[in-house]
Amino acid sequence: MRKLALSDEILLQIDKPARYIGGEKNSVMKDKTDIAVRFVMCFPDLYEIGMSHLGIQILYGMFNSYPDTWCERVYSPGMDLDAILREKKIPLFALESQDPVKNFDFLGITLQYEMCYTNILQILDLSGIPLFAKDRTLEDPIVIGGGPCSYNPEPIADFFDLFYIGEGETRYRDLLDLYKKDKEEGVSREDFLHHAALIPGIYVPSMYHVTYSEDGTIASFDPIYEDVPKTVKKQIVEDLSDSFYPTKPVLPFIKATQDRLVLEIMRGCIRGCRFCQAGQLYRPIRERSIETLKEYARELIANTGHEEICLSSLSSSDYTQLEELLLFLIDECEAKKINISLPSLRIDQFSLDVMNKVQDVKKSSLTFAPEAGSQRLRNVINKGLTEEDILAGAKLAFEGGWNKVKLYFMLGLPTETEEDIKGIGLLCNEICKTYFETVPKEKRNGQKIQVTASTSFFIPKPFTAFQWAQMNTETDFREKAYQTRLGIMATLNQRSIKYNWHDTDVSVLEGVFARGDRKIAEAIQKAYENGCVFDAWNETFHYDRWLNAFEECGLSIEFYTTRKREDDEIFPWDFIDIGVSKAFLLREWHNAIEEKVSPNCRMQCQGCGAATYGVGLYCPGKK
Amino acid sequence: MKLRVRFSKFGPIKYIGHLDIMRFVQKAIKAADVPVKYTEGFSPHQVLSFAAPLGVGTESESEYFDLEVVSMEGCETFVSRLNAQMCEGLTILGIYELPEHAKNAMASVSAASYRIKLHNEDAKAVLADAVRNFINADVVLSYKETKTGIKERNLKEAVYEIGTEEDSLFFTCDASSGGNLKPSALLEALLLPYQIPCKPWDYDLIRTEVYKTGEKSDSYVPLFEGLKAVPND
Ligand code: SF4
Repeated sequence: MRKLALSDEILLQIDKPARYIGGEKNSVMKDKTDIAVRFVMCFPDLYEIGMSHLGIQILYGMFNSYPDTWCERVYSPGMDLDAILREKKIPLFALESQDPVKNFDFLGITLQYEMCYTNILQILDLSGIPLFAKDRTLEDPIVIGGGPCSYNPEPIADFFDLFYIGEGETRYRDLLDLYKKDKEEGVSREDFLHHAALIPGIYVPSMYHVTYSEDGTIASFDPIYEDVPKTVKKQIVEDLSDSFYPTKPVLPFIKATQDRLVLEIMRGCIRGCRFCQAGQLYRPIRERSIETLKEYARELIANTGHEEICLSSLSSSDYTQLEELLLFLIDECEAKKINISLPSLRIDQFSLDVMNKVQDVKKSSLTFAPEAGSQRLRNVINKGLTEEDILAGAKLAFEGGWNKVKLYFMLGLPTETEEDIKGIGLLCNEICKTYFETVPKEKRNGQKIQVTASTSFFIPKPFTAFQWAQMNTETDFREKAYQTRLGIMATLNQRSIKYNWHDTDVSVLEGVFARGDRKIAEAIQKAYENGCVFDAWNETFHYDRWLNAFEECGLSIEFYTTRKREDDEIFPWDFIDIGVSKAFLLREWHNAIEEKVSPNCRMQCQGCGAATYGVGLYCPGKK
Repeated sequence: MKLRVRFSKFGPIKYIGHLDIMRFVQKAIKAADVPVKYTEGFSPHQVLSFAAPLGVGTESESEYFDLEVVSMEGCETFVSRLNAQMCEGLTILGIYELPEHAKNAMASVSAASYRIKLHNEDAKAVLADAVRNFINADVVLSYKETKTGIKERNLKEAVYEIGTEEDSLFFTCDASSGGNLKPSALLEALLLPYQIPCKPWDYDLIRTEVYKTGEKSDSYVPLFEGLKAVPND
């Protein structure tokens, strides 16, 4: 039996000890004497959150498929254990071997959302690894970041030795080989980092020097050595049907937030919604072949015995063989008694038929994401979903027995007016009207129509057409949420409409981190020292501490959020090349202001630049 | 057809609670492709019944759950198939056929036996003495705080057998749904006269068997007794 890092005394007194003991089914044990590279993969949030994430399972499985590498896992300890680790001076440990994180060769941290930044410091701190990369020695692991937030790594650049820009399946082997070689030759940490910076997709912050203009914007961003590339190119998987897939995922004992099997059907998105970062980051679109997916589904089921499976992609309705795939899954899952949880599909007769088969109509709801209340604003954001689409879909669904509708909107989008906000209430009202017109009273069986409208606040993100946009102030946001509510209350069917909105404070900080630069690292460190951690959790989020931290560092929040950016501003993330060009994004920004719609990739290529990879499904010049 | 499955639980997974073990076992049964019976409806689930829940931190040499299968085809590989789907520390020990009208595992439980291995030196020193006193006493009270005030219970009536061996305490006690005795309550009562505090981490707690009522109403036999073992290849 494995020996645990924590004593019975500790484990019997903390919440959910299962988070810290490892030993889950499909977790991987190896003999450490046979291993050249020890990697520990971290999701900087609680175990239940981190265990739901497909990306980690991919890398975990891939690393462990290498005979010379052992990959383990670590998550943020809950605050109860955090206090005990500090008090008893127990170093943070990896789940499998229960060895201290500090003894590993690599600590990989996945960056899924901005609000986890202080948790990164918690992990480093509890591991006994210096927070700043510059203070680390050969005794410390190489700390590497990856995932969506690494596309603007600058706010946390000082804490990382490396960032991996792109999809993990492609370049890690090169990095591990380099590490082994350099270790054997006894090169210095600095030289290793320099060598690593030459691997495509690897960004080494310490190999670049930033200067700022008087107004605080970036004046120059250059490598400090001649052989280090000026831009770092995003790495992508060329053939998704021929890349590593974790068909033996680790099965948590305790319920993860997403407790189901995940079948990733494609990457990228053909739709060019102008607010959406993922839609640009993962271009060009690539599909996994249907044969591969069928095989994976069968293996996943056999290897886990899970009772639920779901499809994952940015827009599953656009998968070219969706119908065949769903029919296959329905058959397979029916036989094996497995639930299918459907992604939000475009509502049409086919998707309704499918939903009818796999879920209880009375309990399930329809989801639409119009994102904006008026057609004008939907044109600005290039969301190709019209009011007619929504009402037609809703009518079909009401005829099929549904009576719950969820709608998602954003407030604070560029060019937004009062009319657009009123539009939210009006659209909800139209849906109610459609219900009453479609379903005669005698057929309602005492059921009522329930519309739930949710709004989030728009945060401009790097690598989108809206990276130039000014974010709203908190006052604007509150006012707009209030206006939305008034708008809904003014409608005829307001009793059938429920309205939810998100809090503003977190959005402001997210806005700062999303488009932040290297100067911010200091504020993050201050906030952490002042007790900020688990900022993504309402109970532990302390806005006042953050405001103090920014003030102490002499940094202005408005500089990052509400400031107007010129077309030719150098952004902190400009050194990353995601394939999609800045020229294209700027064109789209101007189109947005002019309320001009751009067709999607399938209708007509927009020349975004991602064709350079040569593998996009609809890109000209595909191999 | 109904089957009774006997398994053991050792090592770090003693920290996995009862409900999570149930979820784990459900997945393992599905992955093992045992022809288990499912309920109807949109989220079908297996017809499973676990015997006495095991507390977090307790290991066990003998746990049980009942399941219903739709066919006995290939039953000689059920044990090995299930074992192939277990995790570190969980082992299927045997599978038994259950008569159609037998009470399910949960309802059958009447008693359970435990072994407590002490780490606390003070407690070790008095253990033999404490047990001797317990055996000789007519009444040994334990106190339990409940919503309606402090409840007394005479442990002499709940403990059927008790003995020691070196630093370990062995006992068999009431584990029925109405009268289940918590092992820690007995230990506390034993050590109370000596004023020795004993926290759950001062000892290892192992359940050694779970029992049903035997032929005579005051006897108890292991839950698998009298059942026909499914052959194991
Ligand atoms: S190059 Fe054209 S088809 Fe390819 S992703 Fe860009 S816009 Fe779409």
